Amino acid sequence: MVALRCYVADPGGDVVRVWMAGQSGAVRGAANAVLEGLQAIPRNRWRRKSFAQLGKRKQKECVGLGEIRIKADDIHYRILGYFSAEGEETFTMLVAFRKDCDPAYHQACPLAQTRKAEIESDSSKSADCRFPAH
Amino acid sequence: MIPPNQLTADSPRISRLGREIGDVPFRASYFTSQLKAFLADQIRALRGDQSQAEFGRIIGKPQSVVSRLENEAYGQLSLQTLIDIANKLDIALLVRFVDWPTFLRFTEDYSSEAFAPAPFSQQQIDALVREEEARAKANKLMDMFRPMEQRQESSAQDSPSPPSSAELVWIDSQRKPQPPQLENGNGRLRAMR
Repeated sequence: MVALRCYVADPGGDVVRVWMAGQSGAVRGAANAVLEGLQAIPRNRWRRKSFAQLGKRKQKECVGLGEIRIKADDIHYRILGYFSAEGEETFTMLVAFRKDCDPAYHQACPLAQTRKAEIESDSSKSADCRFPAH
Repeated sequence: MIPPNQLTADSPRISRLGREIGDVPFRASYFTSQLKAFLADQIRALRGDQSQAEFGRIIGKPQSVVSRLENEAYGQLSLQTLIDIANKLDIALLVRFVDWPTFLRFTEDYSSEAFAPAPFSQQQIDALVREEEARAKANKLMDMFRPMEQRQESSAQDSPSPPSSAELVWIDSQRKPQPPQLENGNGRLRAMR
């Protein structure tokens, strides 16, 4: 089982729930199902199609991050985050976005890295989040 | 029902989903994604520590098919493939249309037993048979102690009538063997025989 945490913006709150609230029903449905499924299985079984470690090839700004992959109505969405430490079963979600708005992750990865650094220096910047979202 | 503004991350899953499930695109998308992802995770959990090729040999499919089965985005599985896998692994498969409350309750279970169900076991079936027989017997006895008016009402509907004394003797005869000291005593059951 993997515990999911979310970056908490100030002001704004939990960024994943705020992002979800602005999406269509189809996106919310797919995102909730994917996240609910991921939090129910151990890290070593996170499915290849639903999760990928980033930072390989040309995505140097994405090193240390992973992405949760969601597809709804043939459009791809991504939630960037990171596993706290090797072997640890906590994944913290930092940025959610529609992939075709930032196909090379030039905006999403630097923002995610900034938020990751914020959490690492102040743990109150992240909070437990469970799915389905309330 | 918990008001939406009072729902928290600790609220029951069905309460958290209950607010959204009324939305047609949400429930269609949630159901589709949940079904595909759970099935892919089940195949992965059933494979356990075996390689895809090793698992493929057990279920009679090439490694490439196992890889597709574990990919929730694939979505082109045939019913026959699922039946073949169930038969090879000696587990059962449920594919049926259900109402939404049934779906929500059924998909609550993310336990390891739900992901990788155990193969057939005669001991499990025997335990189930004993449980069902005990339940049926208890229901019959409960029925005997219900007020006469209720029994008349239910017998006018579809419930079985209370057991006769001959039936009670038969029910007792089906019970598990008693300890020797009871078998050898002058108990009522023995006297009735």
